[in-house]
Amino acid sequence: MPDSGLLYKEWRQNKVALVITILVFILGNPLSILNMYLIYQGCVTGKENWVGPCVFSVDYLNSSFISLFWIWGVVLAVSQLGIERSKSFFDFTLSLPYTRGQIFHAKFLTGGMVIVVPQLIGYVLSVLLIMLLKPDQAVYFHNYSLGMIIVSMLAYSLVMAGGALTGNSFAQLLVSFTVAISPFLLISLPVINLEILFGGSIDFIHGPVPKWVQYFIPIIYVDSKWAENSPYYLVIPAIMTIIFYIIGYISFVKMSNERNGYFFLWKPLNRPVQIIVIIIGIMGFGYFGFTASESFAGYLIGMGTGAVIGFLISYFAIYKKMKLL
Amino acid sequence: MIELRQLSKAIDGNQVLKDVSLTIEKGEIFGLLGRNGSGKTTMLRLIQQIIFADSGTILFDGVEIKKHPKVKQNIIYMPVQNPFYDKYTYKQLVDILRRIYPKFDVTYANELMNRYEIPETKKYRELSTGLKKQLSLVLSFAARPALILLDEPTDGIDAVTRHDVLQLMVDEVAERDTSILITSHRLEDIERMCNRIGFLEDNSLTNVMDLDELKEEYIKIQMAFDTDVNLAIREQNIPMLDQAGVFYTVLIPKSDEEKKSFLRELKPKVWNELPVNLEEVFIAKFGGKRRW
Repeated sequence: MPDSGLLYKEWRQNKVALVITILVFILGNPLSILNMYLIYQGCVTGKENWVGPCVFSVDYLNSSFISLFWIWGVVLAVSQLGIERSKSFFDFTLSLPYTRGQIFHAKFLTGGMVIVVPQLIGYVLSVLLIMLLKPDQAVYFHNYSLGMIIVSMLAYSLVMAGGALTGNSFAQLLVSFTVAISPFLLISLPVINLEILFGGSIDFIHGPVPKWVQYFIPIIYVDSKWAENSPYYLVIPAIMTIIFYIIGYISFVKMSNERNGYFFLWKPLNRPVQIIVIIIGIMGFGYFGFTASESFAGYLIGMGTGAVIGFLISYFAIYKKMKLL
Repeated sequence: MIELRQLSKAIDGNQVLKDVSLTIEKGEIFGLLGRNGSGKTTMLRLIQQIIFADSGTILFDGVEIKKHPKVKQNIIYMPVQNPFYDKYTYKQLVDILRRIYPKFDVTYANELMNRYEIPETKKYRELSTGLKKQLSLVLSFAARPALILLDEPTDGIDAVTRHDVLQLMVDEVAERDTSILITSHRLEDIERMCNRIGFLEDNSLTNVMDLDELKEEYIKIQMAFDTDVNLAIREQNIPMLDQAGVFYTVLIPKSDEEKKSFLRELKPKVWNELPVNLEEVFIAKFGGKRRW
C-alpha cells in the first residue's frame, strides 16, 4: 500500500482531472438512462410526432456517451505521467522519500480507484434507476457497464505504460496508440503486402480466425460491439491490463527519468523504432498506393512516399527534443 | 552523515562525474564549486536519487539511499526552480509536505514566514524570485532535515534578500546542526558560509579542503616591471589575474618557490604579496585554461 502522503500529493496534483473523471463516471451511466427515459417520455406525450411504437429501451450499443468512458483512462494516465514529466514535476516527485515502485503504485492506485469505484457507484445508481423506471428492455446493460470498467482500466494501464517509457505526453500518446493498433501493423499489414507482391492470398489471415483473437487488439474496444459477446471475453482485456501494468511498473522503476524531453527515455529504443516506423510507412502507403491505382506502379510510388513520410515522422518525433512546458 | 563513494555518471554519452567521493559531516556547510556544466546539479540530483548513478554508492548515516529511500526524510533538495510548487499557496504546500515528512514543523514554518514577511495566501508562482527562494528555504528547513542540498540558492535575488537567505541558512546550522551542501556561482556567498569547499573539474572532485586552508595555500603577487613581461609569465603557465600597463597581478601556490624565483628574476620594480579571496582562486583554477 503506497504511503498516504504520496497518495495525497497525487490527489492534489491531479485534482481537476480526478474530480471531473469521478463526476463523469458516477453520473454518466445514470444520466444516460435518464436521457433514454426522457426520450421515451417525449414519445409517449407527443406520440403523433413519432414513428412507430414508444419503447423505453436502455440500449447500450447506441449509447455513445458511455462508450467514450475509456477516454478518461487516457486523460488520467496522460495527466499523471506525460504532463507531470512535461512540466518538470518529476524532479520533485522523485526527490521524495519513496521508492520508484511506491511512486508508480501510488499513481496507479489513484487512477485505478478513480476509474473503478465511481463507475461501480454509477452502475449501482443505474441499477436502482432501472428498477425504478422499469424499462421495457435493457440491452447489454450489465455486460456493458461492468465491462467498461475493464476497458477503461485497459486504456489507463496501456497509456501509463506508454508514459513510463517516454519523455513527454505527445510521445506517450503516440506510443500508446501504436501499441493499440500494433497487431494490425505487425501482422496484417505485412501479410497484405506479401499478397500484393506475390499474388494470391495467405490462408491464415483470411481463414477462420477464432473470435477471441481480435480482442487482443486494444483498439477494438473503441467499438461497442464487444458488449454483444460473452462476458468471459473480458478476461482478455483484464489480462492485457495486468500485462501493461507490469510493463509500466518495470519501465518506471528501471528507466532513467532525466529531464531531457526526448521521445524515449531509454535511447537504444530510438533507432529500432525509427526503422519500424519507416517500414510501416512503406508498407502502409504501398498498400494504399496499390488499392488506389490497382497497379504495381502505384504500389511503388506509395512505398516511396511512405518511406519519406515514415522517415520524417520518425525523425521529428523521436530525434527532435520536445520543449518542456 | 552523507558519504559519496566512487560516484560516476554519464548523461547522453558524456561523462559528467567520474569516481567522485566525498563525505559531509554533521553541521558542516560544504560549498561545491565548478563552471557551468561541470556536474554540480547532477551531483545533487544523484544524492537525492532523482537520477541513478552508473556506479558508486551514496550512504546516509551508513545506509544506502538507493536501497532505503525512506532515509530521504532527512534530506531535502532545493533546486534552482521548483515547478511543482507553482500552483500552490504556502498553506497548500505545507499540507502536502507535512504528510510526506513526519518531522515537518508547521509552527516553525509559520514563524519563519512571519519573520521574513512572506505572503501566505499568494500562489508560489505569483511571488518574486527572492520570495520564492525564501519560501522554498522555509519549507526545506521546516521539514527538519539533517542535510539540505541547495542548488544556487542566491541566484537571481537582490542583495538584501540574499543577506536574509544566507542568514537563515547560517542560523539553521547554528541552531540545529543541519548540514548543507550548497552550489553557487556567487563565490562571496560560498566564502562567507562554507567550512569546506570542493571543485568539480574534468568530471572529478578536486581540492576538497578547508576554505581557510585553501586561501592560505595561494598567494597573490602584485608586480611592476620596466618592460612587457606578459609573454614570459604566460609561458610559465602562471595564472594572471590582472594586467594594467606594466602592473601585473598573478596568483601562485604559496609553496611554489620555483615560480616565485622566476618572477623575481624578471626584476620587478614593485613586489607586493597579498592574501587571496575565493574568487581569485576560482578564476585562477578555472579561467586558466581559457586565459593563459
